[in-house]
Amino acid sequence: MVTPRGPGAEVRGPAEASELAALLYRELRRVAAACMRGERPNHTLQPTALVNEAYLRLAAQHQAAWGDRVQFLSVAAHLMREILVDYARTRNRAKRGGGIAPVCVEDAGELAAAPDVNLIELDEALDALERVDRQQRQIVELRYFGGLSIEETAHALGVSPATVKRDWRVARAWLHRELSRNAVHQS
Amino acid sequence: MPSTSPERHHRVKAILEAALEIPPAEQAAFVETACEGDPDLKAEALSLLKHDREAAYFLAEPVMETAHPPFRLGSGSRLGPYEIVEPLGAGAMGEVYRAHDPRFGRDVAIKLLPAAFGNDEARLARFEREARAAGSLNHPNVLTIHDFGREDGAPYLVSELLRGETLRERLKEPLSAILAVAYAQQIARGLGAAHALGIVHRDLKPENIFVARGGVVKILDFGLARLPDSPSAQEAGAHRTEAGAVLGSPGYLSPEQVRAEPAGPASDIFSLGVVLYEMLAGKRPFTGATWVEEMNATLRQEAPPLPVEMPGIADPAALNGAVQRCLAKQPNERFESARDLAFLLESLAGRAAPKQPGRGLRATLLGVAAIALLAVAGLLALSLQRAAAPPSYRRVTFRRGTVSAARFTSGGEVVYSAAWDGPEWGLYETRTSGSFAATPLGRPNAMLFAVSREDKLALCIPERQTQHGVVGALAEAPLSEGGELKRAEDVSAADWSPDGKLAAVRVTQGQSRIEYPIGAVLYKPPSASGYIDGLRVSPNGDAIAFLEHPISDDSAGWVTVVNLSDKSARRVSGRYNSMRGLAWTPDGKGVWFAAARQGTNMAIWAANRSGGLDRRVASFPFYASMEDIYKDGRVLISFHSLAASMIRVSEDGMATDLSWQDQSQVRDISPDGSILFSESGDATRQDYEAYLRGADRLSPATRLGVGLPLALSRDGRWAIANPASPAGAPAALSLLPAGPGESRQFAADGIDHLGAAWLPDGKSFVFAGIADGKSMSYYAQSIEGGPPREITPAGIRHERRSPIVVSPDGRSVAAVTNDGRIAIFPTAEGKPRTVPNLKPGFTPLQWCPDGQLVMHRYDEPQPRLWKLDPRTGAPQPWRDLAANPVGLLDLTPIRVSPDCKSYIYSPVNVLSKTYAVTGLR
Repeated sequence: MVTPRGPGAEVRGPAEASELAALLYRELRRVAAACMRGERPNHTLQPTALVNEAYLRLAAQHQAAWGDRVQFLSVAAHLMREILVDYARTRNRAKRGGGIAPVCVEDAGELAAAPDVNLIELDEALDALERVDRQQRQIVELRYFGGLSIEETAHALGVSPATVKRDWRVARAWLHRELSRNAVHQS
Repeated sequence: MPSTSPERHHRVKAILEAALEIPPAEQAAFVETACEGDPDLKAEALSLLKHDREAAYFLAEPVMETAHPPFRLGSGSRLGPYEIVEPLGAGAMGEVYRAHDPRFGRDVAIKLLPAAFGNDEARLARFEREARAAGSLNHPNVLTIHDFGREDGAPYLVSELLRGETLRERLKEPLSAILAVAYAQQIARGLGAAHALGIVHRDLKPENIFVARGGVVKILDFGLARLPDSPSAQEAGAHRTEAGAVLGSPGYLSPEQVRAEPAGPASDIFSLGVVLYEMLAGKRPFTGATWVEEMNATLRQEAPPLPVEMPGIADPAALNGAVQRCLAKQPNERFESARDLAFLLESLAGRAAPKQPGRGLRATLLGVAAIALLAVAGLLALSLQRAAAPPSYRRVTFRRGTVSAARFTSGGEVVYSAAWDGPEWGLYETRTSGSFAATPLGRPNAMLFAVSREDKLALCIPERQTQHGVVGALAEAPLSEGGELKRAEDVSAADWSPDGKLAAVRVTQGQSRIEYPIGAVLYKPPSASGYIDGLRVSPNGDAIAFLEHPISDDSAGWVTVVNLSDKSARRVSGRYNSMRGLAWTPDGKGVWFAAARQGTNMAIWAANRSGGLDRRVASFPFYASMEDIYKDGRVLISFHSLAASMIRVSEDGMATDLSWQDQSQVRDISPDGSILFSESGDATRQDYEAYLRGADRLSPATRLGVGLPLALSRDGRWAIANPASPAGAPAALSLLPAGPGESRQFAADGIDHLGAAWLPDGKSFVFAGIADGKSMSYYAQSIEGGPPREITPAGIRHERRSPIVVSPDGRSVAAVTNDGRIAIFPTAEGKPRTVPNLKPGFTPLQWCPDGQLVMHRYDEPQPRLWKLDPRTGAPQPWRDLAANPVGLLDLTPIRVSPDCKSYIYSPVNVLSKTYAVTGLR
């Protein structure tokens, strides 16, 4: 099967990332870390705000490099997933009494505990989905973590909105099954 | 978990997708049939079909939008003295409740901020102070704050309870233009009152503008504002995160906020402009599919004009003008205050606004207001006039090539000199009153300086190209036919006075001066290395204005006016880049000129003769020259598209175009053939950017950073550059890494740095510098810092386009001295010597391994490279430079490889179109 290579598809973390992703990643981490040290209690960890701020800072510094919004969004959506999942994990550790419960993480915890989605399980399921259909994984990231509409997602991946719509529906059913399977196993 | 392979998943997907196309009742049967004979596939497809039905709400909302915190307070609970009645809504900054205050028997609104907010005492104190300050304004257009409290660490605000809806909700239905203006007027008044207290909102948007019942508009959430004198503003590093950009909706943020720069009152005016635009047009002026695009649009795009017809608005063009002025990219180009805007909107709505409720100080305030009103009236008239009619453009030149100058004749026709299809200049006339056909006026090889009131021409018979532009003999001639009369030599610009006298810029020994009348020096620029152009005598002959460029070969500068009565000179404009052409307004009160504030965003600017702020008349995405203004207000403007290419010629004469973007210019070549070059065209945001590339056509270029690159170290790892320096400040130097590494800045220390070359050790370099009050010399400097060491006497000539030429062993440097000759100076110890027998005018380009110098003359009609043995001083032609002659302006900069086998030059071709423009004000 030939999967169209979407921009940012290869980005998994700073080690393999393009310069762009590395910058964005560092920046998001820096903002998040500042938040965790309790430096900025006025900022609840709104992911949009987080990416927003990272973009603003980077755009100011690297004006010329930011032509490709699609690449930026794809990378941002992926990194957003990593960061939110990390927060969810940290919160779990904090609940179990290990580690430190940082100030902002409570807020992020609320966020990560959005109704009926376990972000850690979703993350694992997305990894599994990646192995069978990379484009579906990307669509879920762009839609769910990046907040893109069907049309924007289609534009980002260079495919038709109808394709995104179909893939999105199948991917959702697939992920829903994976997550309910976990729920059964755990109970 | 079943181990699904991609192929299998793909098959299941295809079946499932087909199934989802048909009615739900038939889906299962379809899957059964499609998977006939493959039970595993069938099970998988059926299971996914089942989950598809269950997953209707699964991941349906993006993670960030599902993150609404639950309401923390239930109905009937208490918060301080207040009884919670019901939750009203929630946003990023907290939850809002309706509550009852039993002490006053009234209902209030309470905003409960996130608990985390309470962890930062300093921030909280600031918030409280600001909220109280804004709330205590007691202004009808600002939400009144009653109280401020804290419960379990969570701060809350108590305010008047408004009935109505936010402007966001109101905008779900279209708004009439009259109502839009009336709302905007109220918002402007509220902002004006807050700004007067030094409070900036910073996050104005329809979500925090409330339209109360009865149509009274209130600004909410002044709590996000920051007092300008709050200590946090000075906290290092805190500034950016405090800038508020993050919290604002990108669509309403001002360009300065998008760039994470500090927000001021002008930022609120911009946001109000966006809100007003949205109310009038039904959509925001800067949009994009995503916030990234929106922010880009905010930074770069002009707002599309509003509809030409708006019911109930007497002068839609004026309203459009006012909105566009709110939306100016530069804060200082917006309305000076929200109150000015409120007044203007009031007049545009075409009816008296409701009176402000009077208070104790009313009588006094009225007096003050009356004065303010008078002051504003002038501004108002100006704004209305400016927006009256859109300008119209009529092209007056039609062929391919360069226009050097264009002027109106006494009868309003257009005369211009141009080089069409090749290097020869000629004179032409376009009859704008007739057919617009261009008539050649004969006079080959003449360039136009000026046309007098009696239609006498002042012409330049070009003799040489210098860093001051084309210099030649000044001749006068009748417009129609008749002989030319030579009036002066060495002239680079000239104009007629109304009574028929000539003023001229004369260039001798590398220095410009203004003579008026010819032979009598009127003005000498203070900086000997600078030059003058755009010379124009005022309409009544009492003053001369010109563009003063402090650095040779750099079109940056300002406008100076010399009063002829007392010969006093006065700078009347700001400092600009790319200044091209100047003309007096017909009333003689000021001048218009073409220039760029930054990059290639050219504009026509109006400067007042007596000083004051410059005004932008019109802006263009092209290089423009201000040519002339006719007494009926018509304006001649030439637009130039400028392409600088970079041509490498190898040892065997093969030419390769190594241009990268639209204005590639070579700056240095390293021993391994790496090419350091600059880009300065539309692809760059700053004036110059530094790039590095290899010598073959396919090698990609790497952007090193911002700044004019000057020299590449011999190992190719570091470039020296002039970073963009603030207007008027001396140019400093920076080191840009070609690979990993941090860039480094050297302080200017009062020295203007205009060129640099590495010494072979890679640890020190030579630069051309002008110290305060001295003329130029070369200095040696270590990259480790320390004071520079002067290695030549003051009195060196160096142009930005030329390299500094160091001998291969690094012991000597070849420099042009003030008499135009070449001298050799030791970089450390030894005696300087001049190159014997060499006539002036050569510029050294490279010191070859065989000891010879490669040189160039900028003033040669047939450009070529020369070689010379510095001991004997007899130059030999070495290579001819060739380029497309159409619109060819320049072939420089030129650089020769260190082995003297190849060279690179940068032909600049300029294609011009001249327009007669009506309606510019």
